Amino acid sequence: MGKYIIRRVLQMIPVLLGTTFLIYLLVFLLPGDPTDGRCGQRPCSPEYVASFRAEYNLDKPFIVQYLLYLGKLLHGDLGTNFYGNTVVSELAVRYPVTLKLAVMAIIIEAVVGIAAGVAAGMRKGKFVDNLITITTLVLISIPVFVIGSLAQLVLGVKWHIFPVTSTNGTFDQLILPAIVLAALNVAYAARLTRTSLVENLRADYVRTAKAKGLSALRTVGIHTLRNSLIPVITYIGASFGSLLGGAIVTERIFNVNGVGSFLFRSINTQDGVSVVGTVVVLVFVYLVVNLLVDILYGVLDPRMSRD
Amino acid sequence: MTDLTDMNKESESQARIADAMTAPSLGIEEPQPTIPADALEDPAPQPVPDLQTVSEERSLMQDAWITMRSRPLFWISAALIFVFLLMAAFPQLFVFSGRTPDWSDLDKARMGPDSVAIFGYDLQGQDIYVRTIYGARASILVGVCTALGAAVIGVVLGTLGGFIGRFLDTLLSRTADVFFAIPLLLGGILIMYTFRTTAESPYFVVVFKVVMALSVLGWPNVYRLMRSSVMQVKPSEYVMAAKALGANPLRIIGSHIIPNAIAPVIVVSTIDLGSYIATEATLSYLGIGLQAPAISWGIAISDASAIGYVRNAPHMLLFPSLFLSLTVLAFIMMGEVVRDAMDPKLR
Repeated sequence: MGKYIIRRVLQMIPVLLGTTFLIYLLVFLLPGDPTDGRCGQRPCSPEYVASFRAEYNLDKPFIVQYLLYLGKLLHGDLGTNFYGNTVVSELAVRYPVTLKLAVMAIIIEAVVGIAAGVAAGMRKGKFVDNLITITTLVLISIPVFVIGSLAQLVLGVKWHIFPVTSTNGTFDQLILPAIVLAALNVAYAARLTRTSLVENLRADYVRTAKAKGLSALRTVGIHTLRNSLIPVITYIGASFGSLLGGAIVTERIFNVNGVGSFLFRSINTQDGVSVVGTVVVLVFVYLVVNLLVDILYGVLDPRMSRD
Repeated sequence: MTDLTDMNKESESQARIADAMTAPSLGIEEPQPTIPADALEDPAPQPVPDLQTVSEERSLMQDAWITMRSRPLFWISAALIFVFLLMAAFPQLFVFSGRTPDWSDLDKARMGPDSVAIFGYDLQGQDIYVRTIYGARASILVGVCTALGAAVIGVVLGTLGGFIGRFLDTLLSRTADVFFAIPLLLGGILIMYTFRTTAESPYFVVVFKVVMALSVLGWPNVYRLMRSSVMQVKPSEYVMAAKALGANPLRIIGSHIIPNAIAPVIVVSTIDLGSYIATEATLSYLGIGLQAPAISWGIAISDASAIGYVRNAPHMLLFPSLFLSLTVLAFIMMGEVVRDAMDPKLR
């Protein structure tokens, strides 16, 4: 087990280096001069441009820039953006909000998704199963920004059940955004649970459990579910990435002041330092979550960690 | 993992279950006989006893086709896909009023449906029906091209990695890990901002950029499947036999490895196609995919989704959303039907 964890951690390092390099490369290629519009209506003086470029290492060759950036990254320094604020401080304000949103979405995803999946899998081919399968298919097909706009209109503006927008990211303001954010993944989690449960219900050990005279609740609840949930847990961990992407859209619709809307604003203002910093942190969190899921997978299924 | 041998194994176990059904009950069955019920209700009854002869005469594709054509879901999604493809290629076939997508009458801005414009009018007084029809092209073009692009990159690299192995495999797999670690939408936003488009960019250039961005992010999915599938096929007897007969590696790959390893790629590419269409619409919605003179469902939804408009003119949001969702739905349904046909285990 210890060896498995160490191998997993070591495997993450090249991926992290590769992604930061890729992200840095992409943003470095960003067209447009970052000093544009920095000096009002007039073009900036050459002295200012030179000092600006020196300050942000823009005058050095690309690879040197990247290595300097990487060095700072190791010290937890994500740089200072063009407004003079450190990216770390900008993110520190917004991360708790997005984290709250993502955790709420994950909980909704896990609870609703697994419950619906079990309900469908237990009654395969019956009405409940068909209803849930069709509902999930519809949820998967409707893009998140459509669900978001409609939910905001119907539940927020018309029926006044939820606040229309978020002002300071309190729990009640984040419920509707979290539901919208989770909608797509709920559908996938439900389908995966159903497939996995149906497959396992055919297994020999389930027949044995039944033949021993165990109750249906125990056969499914203890024997089958434990095995069926392994891929679901992996999926929920991996879905964290799509949650982070979806948060950009959801936060925009509901005016949530989180990392997603910060990233979107930074992209619009060509604030490269903030963009790189934010995406690097998002990808890092995503990789760490996946690492934890992998380790959990090893605990749940001992075959995984032994090879 | 989809495995060809699974099919035989699975059908065998189905046959066993069917046998168990006809055999006299042992009396220890629970009141809810879950397994036999499943076996009975499987939608496609196959001639199980003839399996040995069948699998010799028919290829996997023929088998899959026979399973698929008996399912209504296949025909529904095929019909939808056909209509949307036709709409993308010849939008004028669907427009009977003679209006072009550029036609506009500002007096009619945001007005509801009338006898000519059955979906109503948008902000600029343009006919939403006409613009929705013409919007299919962007979504279909991006979806199909991206799925093809990602599949080609993934299949080529996956075959190389799985077949040659060693250093090349490690290099390719680690590279795939890097791209896999960047979530699709996040990466799409970054790439589209790097290679920024303006209102003046030609239509096909912008579409090409979106396709490139999504293919570059989407290929690791295909790569991983193809690689493991190739590694499963590689040690089989027929590959060894071909090698022993002196076939060159290209021939082995082309006529033995790829045809036997490609099934999971077809399934995943079809399902992913739907999500590429949704991602294109999301990028356009965020204002960094296709830009305004181009017609796209994402742009239309973005324009219509300001809260004031949603409240007073919901038809502007409804119809493009409906078409977008139906397209995504059609491809996802098709992908699932194909998967069920190629991998009976998941049924």
